Amino acid sequence: MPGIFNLELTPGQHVALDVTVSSDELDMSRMEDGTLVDGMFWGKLDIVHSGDTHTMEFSGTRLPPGHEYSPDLLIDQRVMTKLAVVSKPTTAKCNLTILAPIVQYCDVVLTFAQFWRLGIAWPPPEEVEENKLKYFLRVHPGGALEHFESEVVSTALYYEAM
Amino acid sequence: MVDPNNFIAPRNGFAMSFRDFIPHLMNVLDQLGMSMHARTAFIKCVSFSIIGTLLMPSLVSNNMSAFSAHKNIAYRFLSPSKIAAAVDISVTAEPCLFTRLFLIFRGLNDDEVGEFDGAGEKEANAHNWREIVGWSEDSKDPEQFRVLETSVLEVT
Repeated sequence: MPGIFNLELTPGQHVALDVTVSSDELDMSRMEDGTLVDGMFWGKLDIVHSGDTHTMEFSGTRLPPGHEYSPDLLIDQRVMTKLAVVSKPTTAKCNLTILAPIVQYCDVVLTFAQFWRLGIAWPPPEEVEENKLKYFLRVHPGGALEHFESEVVSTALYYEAM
Repeated sequence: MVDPNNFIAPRNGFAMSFRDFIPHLMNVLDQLGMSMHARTAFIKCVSFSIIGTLLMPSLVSNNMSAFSAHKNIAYRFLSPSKIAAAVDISVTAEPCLFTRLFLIFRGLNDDEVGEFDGAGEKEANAHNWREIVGWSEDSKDPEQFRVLETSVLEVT
């Protein structure tokens, strides 16, 4: 695969390199009959020049031919990976059990503060108002919780706060 | 931006290796009145994902796997007022005794664990988490209407 690098080795020192990118041993980008396979690649470039060594790593994705792409739309795969990690919200996993001495009915109301919201919850609660959720339950000694809305009996309410 | 390192620092939390952390946490949960069943469930706590209308235990995410992703772990429990500031619970039963245990933790590398000199396993064993979480003897009383909530949050 041909590659063109425009690099600034030190401030003001620009070099342009036309290279052929190839893998060391096996060419994973081609099938046995030589057909190119779409996929991602990762490469290393070492430039040894007048005693100073410059190294860089690069990665890319082969794009299907015949389409025009604006260079602005292309994002490095590793940047994407990092974005995915950063954008994953911090989630508190909460497990609520009720131990009652006798069978009785009760409402359990969860109120989320301004910067928190509900993730997954089970059984699914009723939304009373924004950031306020309610379970109407019949609780039993031994820990069984009957949730009428979803007709579920469980030993705990599970919810996530994000 | 809040620096997550401040959430768990040597002044309010403790750090130790993952190997030491699990037995230590079992001990702390015991002191906080959790039954063996509840302690085990807490540590292995399977988180759930909803598939269709079914709730399925998630195979990829549970507390044990989250803990074991780190060589060292710094942790602390939050006070009831801090927990209520995020999610408040009310129950229409009188009287109702709440025990809310909210564990926050983060992974540390071997360099970072050095910052917790003087806040390691030995010091953690001597720490009174009961006071922080507002634990009372009544939370073991089967004649009481009790709510036990356990939460785990990994800060990154």
